[in-house]
Amino acid sequence: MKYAFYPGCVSRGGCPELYPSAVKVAEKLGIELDELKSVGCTGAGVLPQNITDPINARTFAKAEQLGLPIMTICSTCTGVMAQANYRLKEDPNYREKVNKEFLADEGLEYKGTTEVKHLLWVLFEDYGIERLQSLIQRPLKGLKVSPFYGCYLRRPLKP
Amino acid sequence: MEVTFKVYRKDPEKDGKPGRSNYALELAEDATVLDALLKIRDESDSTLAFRGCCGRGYCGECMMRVNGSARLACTAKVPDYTKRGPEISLDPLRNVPVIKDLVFDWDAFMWNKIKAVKPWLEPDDSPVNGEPLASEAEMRDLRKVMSCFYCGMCDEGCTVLPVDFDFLGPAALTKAYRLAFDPRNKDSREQVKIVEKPKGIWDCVHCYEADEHCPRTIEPTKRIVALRDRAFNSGITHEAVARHHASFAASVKESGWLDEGRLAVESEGLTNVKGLMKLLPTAAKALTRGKAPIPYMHSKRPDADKIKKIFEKAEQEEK
Amino acid sequence: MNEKAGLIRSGTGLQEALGQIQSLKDRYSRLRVKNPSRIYNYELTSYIELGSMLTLAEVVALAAGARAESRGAHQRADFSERDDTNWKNHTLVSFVGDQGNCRRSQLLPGKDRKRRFSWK
Repeated sequence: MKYAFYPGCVSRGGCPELYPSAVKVAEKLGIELDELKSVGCTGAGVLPQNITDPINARTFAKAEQLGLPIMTICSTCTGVMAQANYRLKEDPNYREKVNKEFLADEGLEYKGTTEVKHLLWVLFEDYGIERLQSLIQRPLKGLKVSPFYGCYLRRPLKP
Repeated sequence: MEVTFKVYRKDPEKDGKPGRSNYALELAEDATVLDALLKIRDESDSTLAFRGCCGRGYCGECMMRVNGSARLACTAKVPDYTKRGPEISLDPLRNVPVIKDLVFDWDAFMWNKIKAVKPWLEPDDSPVNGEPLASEAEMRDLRKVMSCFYCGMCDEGCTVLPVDFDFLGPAALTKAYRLAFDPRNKDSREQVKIVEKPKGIWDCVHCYEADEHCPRTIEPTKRIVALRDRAFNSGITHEAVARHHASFAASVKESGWLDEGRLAVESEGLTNVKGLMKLLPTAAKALTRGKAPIPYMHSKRPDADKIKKIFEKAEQEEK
Repeated sequence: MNEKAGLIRSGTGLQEALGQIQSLKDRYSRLRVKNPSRIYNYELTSYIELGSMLTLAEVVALAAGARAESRGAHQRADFSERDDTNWKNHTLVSFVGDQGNCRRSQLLPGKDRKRRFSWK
């Protein structure tokens, strides 16, 4: 299992425990990570789409070149990129326009084949719960947990 | 089939305290929740108050919570619920003032807010042959927004309204979008200026619950985001928001990624001593835990220049 | 109403309908609303609407009974032709007390674009 790793801005900034812990977890589980170092911020829903869609398309194109799906560790990155990806995949004319105007200069082209997955989805869908269960060393039985994973983990909702 | 409905009751003419009434019914296999309610009112309890009109998912009146989730009662098929259990609970919408039983206050919930965004077109003064015209292509996207039938599902799903009922809400903001983006509107800045104020577009947390609740795929959050982009690009933003955006944009443009330290400082304003002082306790705590990104001590990403090029080109195009 | 004042009407059918409407009106006059509420009282609104529906049913049956011709959506089995000589006019039903009666309009002569008429 290999992924193009997109750590995002905050896991290297105000939440610096996230990056190394994600890397350690991946290592332990045998998930190979190829970090995308020369790509830009997703815009986090703050910057307007006309600016962030091209920047994200570039990120997707870079992952496409590696032939790997993208793995994120931030809910916001996941949601924003998944939505941008949806727009670029759904409308080939739009994708062509973005490719021509923004990516062609660098010799890049996004063909629409990249997937974006958060680490939690990777664990749930690709790695598998049973496999994870077999690796448990210290069970957290008896602990009352209230999970907060960020709603952007589930956007856009699949029909 | 035999079904028991547990219906929320509230009588403003008695003590106004919420209660519940149970009704056991015999229903046809294709009955909807609205069918059941009408049967209850006709045959068992004529005091039960609920709204319903078209009975076919067209008018949006019978909005209520069936087993906790908001939906139109006339399209809620009873067998879909009874396969999970013989009881169905019915409640009015959450966080909305209830007038009586399942009837809630539409004015407070939605109508007042829709009225507040100036929901009418003021065409410009140069109609062709007495008619302000818009092309098919211009109206295509708008037609989707115009299919809103004010069911209130988006407001019901909103995660801000329970916390701040004065928030305009996705329904009203979508209405503002419909007018601000109509090519026939004389001054589309009117609606943008109204919704740019507090309790408007900037109070949306863009959780996208509205988009997931809308039965007509109008995508209210997408419309709110479009209004934000328009507000920002036409310079109609109040200062705190503008500072935040400008700072975010600047660090992404210059280095390819976000400088959070810089964002915190510049959002308050470099000359806003009071605001900056307020940040100090949090900054100190973060520093001791190694979690404070030092503002401006921010490395550039490799390829930052390429990202900058894209950024600038996109900015140019918007103009 | 569907049966006797629906797509195809007849004099006898409409007379029968008026008789049935009258007996329904009698029953209606004996109705009492049990629910005394002043807020969202659907029993009360149903009562008021039922009264209006009965009035309207009577109006429809009376007017259809009076118009001895077929015209547009008003099709009489016993008068299947259109009669422009006698029936090119409006019909007005009014009530004196509980009694409904029917009048016809008469087009006033003149080349005025705004057609003026009086009630016979």
